[in-house]
Amino acid sequence: MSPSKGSGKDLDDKFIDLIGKFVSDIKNGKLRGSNNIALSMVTLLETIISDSQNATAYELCTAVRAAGRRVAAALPHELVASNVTRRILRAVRDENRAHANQVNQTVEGSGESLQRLVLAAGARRATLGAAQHDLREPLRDHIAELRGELESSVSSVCGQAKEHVHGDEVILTYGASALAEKFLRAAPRTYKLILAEGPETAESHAMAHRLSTAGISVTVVSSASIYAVMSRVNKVVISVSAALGGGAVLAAAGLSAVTQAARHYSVPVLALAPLYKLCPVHATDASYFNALAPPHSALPYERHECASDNVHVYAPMYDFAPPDHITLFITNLGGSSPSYMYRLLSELYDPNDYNL
Amino acid sequence: MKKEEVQEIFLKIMKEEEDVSAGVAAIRTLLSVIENYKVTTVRELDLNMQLAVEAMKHCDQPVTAISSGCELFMRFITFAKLDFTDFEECEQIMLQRGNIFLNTLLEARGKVAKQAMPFITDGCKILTHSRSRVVLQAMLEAAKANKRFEVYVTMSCPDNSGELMHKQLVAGGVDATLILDSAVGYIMEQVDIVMIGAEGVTESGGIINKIGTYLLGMAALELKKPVYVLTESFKFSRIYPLDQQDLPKEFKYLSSVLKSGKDLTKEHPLVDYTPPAYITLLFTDLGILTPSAVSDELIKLYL
Amino acid sequence: MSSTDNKSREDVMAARQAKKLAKQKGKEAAPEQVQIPAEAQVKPATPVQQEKPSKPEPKVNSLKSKDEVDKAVLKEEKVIVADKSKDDIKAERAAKKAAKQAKKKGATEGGDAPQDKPQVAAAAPANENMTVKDVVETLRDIAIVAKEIQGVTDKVIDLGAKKAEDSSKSKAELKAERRAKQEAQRAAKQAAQEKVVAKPKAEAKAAPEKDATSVKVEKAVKPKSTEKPKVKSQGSHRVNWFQHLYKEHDKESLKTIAINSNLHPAIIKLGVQLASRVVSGSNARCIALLDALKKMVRDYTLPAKTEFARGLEAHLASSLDFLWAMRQPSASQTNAVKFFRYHLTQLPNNVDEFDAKKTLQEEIDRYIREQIDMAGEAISIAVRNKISNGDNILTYGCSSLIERILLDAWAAGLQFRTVVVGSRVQPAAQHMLRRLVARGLPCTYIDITALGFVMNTVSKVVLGAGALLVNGSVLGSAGSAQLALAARARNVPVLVACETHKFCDRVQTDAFVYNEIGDPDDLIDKNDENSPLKDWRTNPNLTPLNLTYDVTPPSLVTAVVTELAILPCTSAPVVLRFKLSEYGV
Repeated sequence: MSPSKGSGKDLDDKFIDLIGKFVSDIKNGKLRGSNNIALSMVTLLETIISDSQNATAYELCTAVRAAGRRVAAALPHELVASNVTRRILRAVRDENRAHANQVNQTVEGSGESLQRLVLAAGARRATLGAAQHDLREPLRDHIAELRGELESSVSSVCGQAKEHVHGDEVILTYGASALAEKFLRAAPRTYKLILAEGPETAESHAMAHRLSTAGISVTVVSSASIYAVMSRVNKVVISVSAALGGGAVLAAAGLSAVTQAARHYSVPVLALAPLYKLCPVHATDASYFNALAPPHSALPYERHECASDNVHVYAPMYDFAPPDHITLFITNLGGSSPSYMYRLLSELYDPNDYNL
Repeated sequence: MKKEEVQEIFLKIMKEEEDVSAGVAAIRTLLSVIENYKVTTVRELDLNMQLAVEAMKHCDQPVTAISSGCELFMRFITFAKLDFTDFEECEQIMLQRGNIFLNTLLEARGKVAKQAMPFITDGCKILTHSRSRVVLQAMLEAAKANKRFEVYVTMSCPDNSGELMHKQLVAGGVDATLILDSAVGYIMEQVDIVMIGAEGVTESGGIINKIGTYLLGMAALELKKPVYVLTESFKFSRIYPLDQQDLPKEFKYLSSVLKSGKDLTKEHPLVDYTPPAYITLLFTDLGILTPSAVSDELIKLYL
Repeated sequence: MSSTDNKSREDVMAARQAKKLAKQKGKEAAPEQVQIPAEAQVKPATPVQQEKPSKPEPKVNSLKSKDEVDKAVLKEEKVIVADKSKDDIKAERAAKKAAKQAKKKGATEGGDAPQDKPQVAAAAPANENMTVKDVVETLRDIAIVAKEIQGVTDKVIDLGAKKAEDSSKSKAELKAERRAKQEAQRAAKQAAQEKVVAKPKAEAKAAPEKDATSVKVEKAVKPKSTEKPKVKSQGSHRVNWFQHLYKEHDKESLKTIAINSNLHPAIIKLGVQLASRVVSGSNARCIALLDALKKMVRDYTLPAKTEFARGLEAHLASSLDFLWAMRQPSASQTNAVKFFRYHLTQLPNNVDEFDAKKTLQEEIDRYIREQIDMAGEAISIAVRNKISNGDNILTYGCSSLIERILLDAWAAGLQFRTVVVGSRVQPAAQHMLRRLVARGLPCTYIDITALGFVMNTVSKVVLGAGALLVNGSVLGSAGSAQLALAARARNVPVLVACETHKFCDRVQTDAFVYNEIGDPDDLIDKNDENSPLKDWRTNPNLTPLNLTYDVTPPSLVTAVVTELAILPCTSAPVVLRFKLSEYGV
């Protein structure tokens, strides 16, 4: 029976405690930044795997999946946590397949394919029941590898900065992002930067200040002037919260204005997306992922006289850009076009895990 | 083995089981050919297969699906031929594999429908073109899951197959409206998504479908509506049309028309080609693919 | 200011006399007047953050200013009726602020002098009767203070700036002092003469150091909005691609107050209001300008041996120079001036002064009534026909015309929702929200970053415009182009409501060719004391850029609604041709 169908037994209490602590750290702001969250999630899952009693593939999958579901239910907008869960599940399946592999299979990847269809290969489905091997040891290697990849992802993305940003260019970036900042620092600093403030103005300004002290010439503009300055911009570099299936992008509120203006002026848009941000869900627009921030950021509470029962104030946190607005995704493995994202996704995750 | 017999079997399947698509019917015909027409060598079998496919293509049935389904089946069969010296055994294996293949294909439609479900949201308006069994199944399943949505179906001349689709939708409890083919531009601003089937998927990632699909795609692109194509994976074929004229004639016109020697420039084509730029996503049993992924799959298979 | 009307001519003469004497005395008598504390104000002055040495004009962001804007929009009479006390208050505030700044920075130069002049100004409000004289005095004080401030400013920038522009700056200081002396001498001479004759000379010599305004003045050209201010020699913070637009705003332009002592007080008041953005919005600015012109015409004394038209034209030119130096003219203002000039030239040669004035004032009233008021009504009706029940209308920023349209439609019984989009940097939208809510419209408010979130629920977008250009582009407040783009992406029709008096014969392809730079400090979050951008002036790599305008290409606009008809954007030249024929240009 496929683990995705059965509910399985629930996690042990100590695991639930660990998950609770993890979630509260994120909610309190002690754990910030997607990279840190990803690493912590890996540690959490590693603990669960190491401490689980029954180490068969099926059991491990169930446990990991249950943990992933809990975290996703508590933090629906931390897609990175779900992605890490899927990576680990894929690792488990791969190990299991390698172990149980008696048939000489020449098929690559784990998903469906025409080739597989035609070759009528045997264990195409997610049947993990048979194997009873203890997979913990090989899994540890996988997890270590995953951790290494997470830690180096930032530097490998930034290492590509030199290829994309040249001197005397005008670069536009939007909002505050640690990854974008590192990327811009890694590039030769002769370019001019226009920083459009994002919904978190204080952090955007702080980033502008830091970059300017690093020797980059920075112009700060408000989020209403993006179209006006876009005609002079050579490239747009943005950091995203998640890269969705199909090549669409989920990012901070207001990003769609940037990508639409860039498209209008045919300015290339580079989206920085380390692999752990790749999410196999498809979403056609932002309504899939609505989170509302406190309305104070849109209309300060002091202006309460403007508000009455008739007035609604919204301050969404996320925004959505369709795949044709993005020119290039910069991942750890190099640049890739939005139409190729499906390939990266199929390499990272097993299709059965797309819905945790 | 006579041509007419093959055609008879094929047409029988098509007539009796409305629900079966032409491609699947063709594969079943081929399987029955292997079963019923005993031969002694592999080469004879091959010849038989080819003759059968030829025969089916001259049946006045849509050729696109037949040709891609059969090609895939042939390739499938080929893999079985290699190691066995005894022809009898070989045949048995072939039949076995054939049946597996067929069963997989029969499940494909259900998988596609399942994939498309999350994209049919409550309150959305869907535009569809002509009659597609896959789209029908997807919509009926969504209706069963208590989603409320509206469907606009084009009549799709010349055979008005859209009317049949409309009837079946209404019977399934879906709120459906029949519209003229020419009203597509008018209705496009009101709909949320466009969902169509395909008779064939080309290597470029575009689709071959009932005439009028290209226009639908153009209107949808202009008004920024997403176009979702629901299709089974056996419809992937290796042709790469550059434009409408580049489509093979057998696809566009009925075999009887081709045989009669009429002036083709004055005949109405049955299908047209929609380039990949107009398609947002393809829902297949292999997963949700972007048009560029189609070529990937085909390369993996054939090269 | 009815009292002003009656005593106009004689009072001005007397005032000038008094001024001359007072100036001479003032320098000695200053210490005596110190005892009147600057703190004794009738109305509380707005607290100001004064990290920088700049504008003596008030930064009014109290409720009062809101009301001023409201009134300026709705009724022009109220602009006239603006209390005398408000003038005073403003002048006092200005002076008071100048004093504060001077206290902070002016340890070196002229530290004492600025303090004294404000005291003189402070004495003014006590006496409601000495209206004109007070105004003139305070204005003079402002002028002097401004000069002092300029000197201090130069010093500070000297300290902070890294560029080697000291030579030009010190030259600037010297020039300033020389000019001050000249002014004093001239004021004495002028007491007996008519001001108009002396004016052009005064203008010529009084040109500020800055190339831009000096070029303008020496040519005595019509202040067309197409003229771009030349490159500033001063200012360490420039954005290269905006070099042609950058204007270290307010600091230099205040100099001109010192020189143009012959300007009508209404003009000066308007200048200050424009520069401090108290009066904003194209209709409001246009009405305010015409109103000030009306007053100017009314109080104008024709010098002997001069034709009315020519004399007034010269006076007008200098007034407009001052105003445009305070803030670049909007298209509505430019067209209003064109209209005024046209009627001035249409006056018969030997017209009686009284008749001429009457005609001009009537023409101005008619312009306001027809071009703004009635046009607004016609547009409101036209747009109302396009609004159906259940619509969700989206609008951006604050536009008097759009507000009128929405309120009229609501009053007519249509049931619709409004989405008001605001921007953090230009909080005008919040005022509009307040006014809409006060009348009971159901509204939604979002920041411009949330556009993608709401756009698929919007049925129509209605925008106001600052100007409509000949190539069909729409010049609006920064952010409107983004709105149009987002709307186009969802096939939402975009309507631009624009009266024909805003159509201008300029062409612009993007927002860089011509734009207005707002106050960079508006980008800094006022609530955050330790904003990282606080010290941007000392950081050569960091520049906040605050653009005021935005150009929306015609392909993104579905229709332009004018009082003549609903047009496609590309028909703008047709209307313009039609309009120009009215002016005989």
